[in-house]
Amino acid sequence: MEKNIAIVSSSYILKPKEDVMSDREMLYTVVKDAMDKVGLTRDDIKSIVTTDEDFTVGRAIADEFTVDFCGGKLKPNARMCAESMLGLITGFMQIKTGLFDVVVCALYDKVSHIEHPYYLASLSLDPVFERPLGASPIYIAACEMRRYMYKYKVKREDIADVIIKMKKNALKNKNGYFGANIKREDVINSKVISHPLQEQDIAPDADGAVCFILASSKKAKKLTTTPVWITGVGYSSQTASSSWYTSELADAGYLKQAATAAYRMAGIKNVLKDVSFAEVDDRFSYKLLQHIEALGICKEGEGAKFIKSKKSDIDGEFPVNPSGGALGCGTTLTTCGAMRVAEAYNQLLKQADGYQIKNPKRAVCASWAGIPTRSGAVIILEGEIK
Amino acid sequence: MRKVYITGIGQTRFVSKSPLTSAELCFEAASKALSDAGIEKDEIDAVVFGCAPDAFDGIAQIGENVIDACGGRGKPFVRNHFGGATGVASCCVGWWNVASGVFDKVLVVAEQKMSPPTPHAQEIFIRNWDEMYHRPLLPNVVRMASLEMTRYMYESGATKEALCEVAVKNRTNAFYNPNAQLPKKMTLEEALSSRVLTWPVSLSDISPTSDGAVACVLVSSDVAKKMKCKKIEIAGVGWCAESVYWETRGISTYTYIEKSARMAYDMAKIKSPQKEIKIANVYDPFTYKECHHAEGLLLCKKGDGWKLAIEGISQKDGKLPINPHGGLLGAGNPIAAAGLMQVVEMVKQLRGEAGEMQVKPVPSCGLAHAWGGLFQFSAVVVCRS
Repeated sequence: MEKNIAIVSSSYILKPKEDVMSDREMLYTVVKDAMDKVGLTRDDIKSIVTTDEDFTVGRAIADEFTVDFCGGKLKPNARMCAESMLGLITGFMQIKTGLFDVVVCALYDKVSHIEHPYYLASLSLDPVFERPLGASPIYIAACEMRRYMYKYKVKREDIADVIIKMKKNALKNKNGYFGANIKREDVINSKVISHPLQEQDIAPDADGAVCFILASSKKAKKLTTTPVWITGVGYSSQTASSSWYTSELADAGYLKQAATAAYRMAGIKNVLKDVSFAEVDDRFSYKLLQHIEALGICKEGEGAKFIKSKKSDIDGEFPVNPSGGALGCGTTLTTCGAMRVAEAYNQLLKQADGYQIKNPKRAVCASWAGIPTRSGAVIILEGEIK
Repeated sequence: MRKVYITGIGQTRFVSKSPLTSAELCFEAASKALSDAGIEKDEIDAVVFGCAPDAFDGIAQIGENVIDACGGRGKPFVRNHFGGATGVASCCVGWWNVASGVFDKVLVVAEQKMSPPTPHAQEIFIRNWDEMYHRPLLPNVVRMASLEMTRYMYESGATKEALCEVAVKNRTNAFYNPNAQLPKKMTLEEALSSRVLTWPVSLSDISPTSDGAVACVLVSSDVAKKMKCKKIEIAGVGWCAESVYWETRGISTYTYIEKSARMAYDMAKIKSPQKEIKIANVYDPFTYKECHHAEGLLLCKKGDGWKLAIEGISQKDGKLPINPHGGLLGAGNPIAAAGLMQVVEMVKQLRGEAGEMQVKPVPSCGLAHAWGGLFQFSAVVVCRS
């Protein structure tokens, strides 16, 4: 496993829906902050990578407006319409070519300006076969949850306990806006959105922007004494969003495929032994379980058992989402994955005040592109901070 | 730097309204490219997909919708979107997928359907502009082009006749292109007398809206050695973006185009593009754009772009043929796919497989260019045989 590309600096903003900054203000703030932290000027930046989706940003070519706010004027700007971890993976690949030594990855998304988020999500449904059904696509998450609970005989109460833990973790996180001490009844009695999915199963919406500055190993050593290396990347699309129902819905097959590639690159043979902790997309409660199972952190169907156990505690053998995840901090749509990487980065730098893991060395971060997709990505981070 | 080769190409016909879905268009182009390369879809390591505004196709997260059709099922799949520059930029994305060493065989697919929006795709374009400062002025692409075209004509001295000659050249070149949407042996009189939309832009100055898809296979040099098909090397790639705020950068600026070209020329070790580039597929969504871009791409002196067609330099049998396949004006403009068409038609020329469109002698070094956003993105690929 090679240590060629490092995150040398990161900055992020996470705001609940009610506290509004424009997307351009968020981008400028995080990019400027990340650059200032390592003393970089605009001239030092060789390439900019952004991720966003036109429909959620509300512009026909959203990246027209990211150029100015990322210091990208008259620079190579690349834009992926994909989950934010693909932005990091793109920056990683760009540096690996040898063409650039410093890349700014500016990843953002907003929900506060969307009046009807589920209507917007329905526009991702296939217009020939699925959209004419006229249903809110949240039924897809409900189908997946139902199938998961059926196949692995997982009870409503067990999944409730998972949500309780995530929200409790978030209480220690200054960005844990949705942290709370809730009880089983609060989950079980919450509004049914699409059975068996209830209100508490769905991570609340938030606005967020994350900037990562990536550098080649030579450059990283000049910029910081605490580089965090990206030692493994993998991404995969199990099926098209128009054929999501042809997958086994109980499992996150896309993440298993992505993890296989990332683990191979990072030389990981046994995730529980070789990795210290995980930050994983949990925008739905059952998704967290599917994701940790796909990553090999526990056996299929045993996700709830693992999360409920002390093993996954912040001071446990293998902490999962010590930040509180999206359930505790809010999901920022396409930027949910980047938030998980930002949290893992802070942990590795021992900057997770109030929820710091002892001696973390390696993190596995996992993302999903949301309904109706079957696409996900995995990034392995390694830190050297004593 | 790891070398990357284009070993397979394919495209659909470009038409005004295709009855095929976005996925079906992708499938056709992807199948043809794989067949041309002589490899199966299971051998592909990753897929790069390019599509400009999702709103044209009418499907949000359109990349996710076409994964299976592009042969990406169960594979790493990523979609990029650089506005009009997407097609050539997709080739750049494919390039770094392979040049990074992460993948060895990548399928690049670019697609667009512009027929779904009613009454017309222009309705989507209004959402490109800043909602506070610019949208209230009710701009559209034709109005913006008229600003830039007026300024270009003022600064360079370009005549309407010279710019119409670009339309005549490209529409006539398209006559020999079996995939073209608007083949026509056009006369200068026809071009000059076409209806004015927003002065000085008239109908003959504009490329059509189109549906279509294009694909190509990119491989590492180790894989290319074992393949029997013709291999064309990607010698250089470049891309650059300018500010979206025209107030800060001048109407007719092309610094971003020049920077994208220099990035590709440096990589390809090209010192004199006017001499070393033997065929250039320059993005021509408007007639004057072919001229303006040619200057930005350093294919002629500043201010001389408008002379290239009328003086015969950019004709198929000229010193520096530009768009011998008809360009966007003649072959059609399904936004993302049009850019990749510029790459694929250039590859055909370098292979000597362009049929009646063939530039002679067969060129050994070519350039493909695409441009987009609010007149702010530029992407360039330079290839050698």
